[in-house]
Amino acid sequence: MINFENLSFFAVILLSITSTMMIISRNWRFIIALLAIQYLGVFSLVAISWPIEMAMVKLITGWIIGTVVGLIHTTSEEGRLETGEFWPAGQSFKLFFILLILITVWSLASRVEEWVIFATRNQITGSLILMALGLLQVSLVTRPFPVILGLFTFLSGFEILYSTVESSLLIAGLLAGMNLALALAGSYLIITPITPENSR
Amino acid sequence: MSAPLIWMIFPGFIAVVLLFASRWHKITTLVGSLISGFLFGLAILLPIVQEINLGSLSFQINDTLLIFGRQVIVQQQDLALLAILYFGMTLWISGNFLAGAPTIFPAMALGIAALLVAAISVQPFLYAAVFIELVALGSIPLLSQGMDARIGVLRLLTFYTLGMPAILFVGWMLTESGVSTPGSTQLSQVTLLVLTGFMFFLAVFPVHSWVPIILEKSPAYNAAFVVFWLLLTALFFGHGLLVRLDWLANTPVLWEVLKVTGLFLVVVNGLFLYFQTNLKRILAFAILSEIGFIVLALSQLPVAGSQLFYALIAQYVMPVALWSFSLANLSNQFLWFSTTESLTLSRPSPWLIHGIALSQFCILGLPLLPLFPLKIAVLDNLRGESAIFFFWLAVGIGGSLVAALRTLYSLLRLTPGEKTADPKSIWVKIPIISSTLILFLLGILPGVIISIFLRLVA
Repeated sequence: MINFENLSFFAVILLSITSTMMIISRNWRFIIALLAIQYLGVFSLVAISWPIEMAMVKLITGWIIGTVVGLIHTTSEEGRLETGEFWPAGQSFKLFFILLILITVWSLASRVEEWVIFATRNQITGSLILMALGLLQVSLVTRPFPVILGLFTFLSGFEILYSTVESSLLIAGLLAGMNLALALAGSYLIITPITPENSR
Repeated sequence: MSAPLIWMIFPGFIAVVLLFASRWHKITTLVGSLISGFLFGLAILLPIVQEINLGSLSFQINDTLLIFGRQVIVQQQDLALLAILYFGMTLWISGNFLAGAPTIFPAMALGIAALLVAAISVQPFLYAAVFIELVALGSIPLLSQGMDARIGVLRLLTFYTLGMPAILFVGWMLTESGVSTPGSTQLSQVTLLVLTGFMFFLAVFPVHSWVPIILEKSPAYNAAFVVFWLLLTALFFGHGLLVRLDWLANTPVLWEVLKVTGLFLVVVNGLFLYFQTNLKRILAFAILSEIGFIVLALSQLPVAGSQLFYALIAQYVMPVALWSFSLANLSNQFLWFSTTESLTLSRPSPWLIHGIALSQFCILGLPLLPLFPLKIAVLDNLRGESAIFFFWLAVGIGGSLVAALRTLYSLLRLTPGEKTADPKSIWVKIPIISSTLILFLLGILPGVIISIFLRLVA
């Protein structure tokens, strides 16, 4: 039997790295791989509070989302035009900003611990990192692909925290369904060609 | 038979069928509007958990349905909401073909209606936030995919995704952590989260930007449908919270907060209306401003009860549908249009100008139109407020008035002499003429609608 609490610190480190790289990188294949790894971290933090069978739902949902969005992105105009650079120019400023956020989140985690009493420190830290970096990603770009991925990052952060207080099967199913619906809506936005404005 | 089966599962199933049949747009329009009308009729006529006798046949509609071990409950007091919802869907689906909406519109509208019913009937009630998010996600195919419109759509997605966790977390705090105890230390945290969630759901300034973008850059009919029903869902949800959580309703400061929020919405969006020149953006800010007025009615729940709230919303449905219908048809005739300068393909049909002007003045609450007595009732309940309160309210309402007059003036001064365009023959006139007659009838006999809601809410 795996003790996920012992692994939680490594999960937080993993989440910090994946969510940071997802903002910085512009290689979509690399980003999708990072998303898949990120959901592994989410799974291990959720598994502290939930039975492993239920926590697996998060992992499987996340991987399905990654597959759907990734496959759709390959066929989109945006995906074909991408340069695929691993470290594009001008990303150092973003990295500096991310580091500031990470430091703030690590220091804030103890305050939030008083509020969400059922969560461990690492669950709170991992959750806050994902929510903060997800918000940052959403606020930096206007293209559907990174915005949708930013929303997934934000939501998975929330789901870690929420799993510590709510273990209802219905809400687990609803949130999984909502994530899949968001993936479909995002894919629709990614794949639909841009039409002339104001048609009617 | 249970109420959730009738008003949630059945329309959801029909929505799926209509989606597969969407290539036959006229047929799906007819089926969709007939079914919505039928469900509206049932909401008016059928009582829940009461014996119904039809000749020798006797039956009862249960209020509960079990799904995945959780209860979905449609209660008697929800019938007013169902009536408004399916009345609105009947109107919007009926007009979608003539307004040039996409072929999937009837299916999407019924699907959204089913999700809205799920949102108000799921237990625990705060899970509704997930359904509201699903409604937002489901409405995306109805919106334009132009470059600028897409920015609005992404903002809509982002804001609703940010609002949902706040509400879900409040749900836990309310049910598990004993925050309902008066004077609890967590009360301020709950209040903050609720306000944050509703700020996103109700598109309160400064997170309102998706509304004017979507309405300006998407087809007016679909965009108005999405915006109007998304905002109404948030209002129904807020109303449900106030009705279900006694301790929340017994917090006196809450009603003051609601009053100030309503005033804020009316004033801010009214100020925007003073400076709008684009007809579609005027519709966007008018909807937002009127949402403020509904929030003001919500703040009077302890005095006026739910009847005023429901009656006010019910009376908004037809003018907003008529406005978006006329605007969608009018937009067909313009290469570009604003109240300051226009480039027309031909002179617009006077019926379309009439439809826009009538719905704008109706929403403003002019006498002889249905919203007049209800707006007077809302203002009457505010008579204890200060002069400064009424000054700012007048500033907000003034914005709507200026926008309405400017729209009317600019439409009437369009260069005459060119051939009057008469798109799609008489079929466009019929909804406008019938809506006009109904609006005047309801304006002359306001008690008709109010008595229906008095009976349903009682």
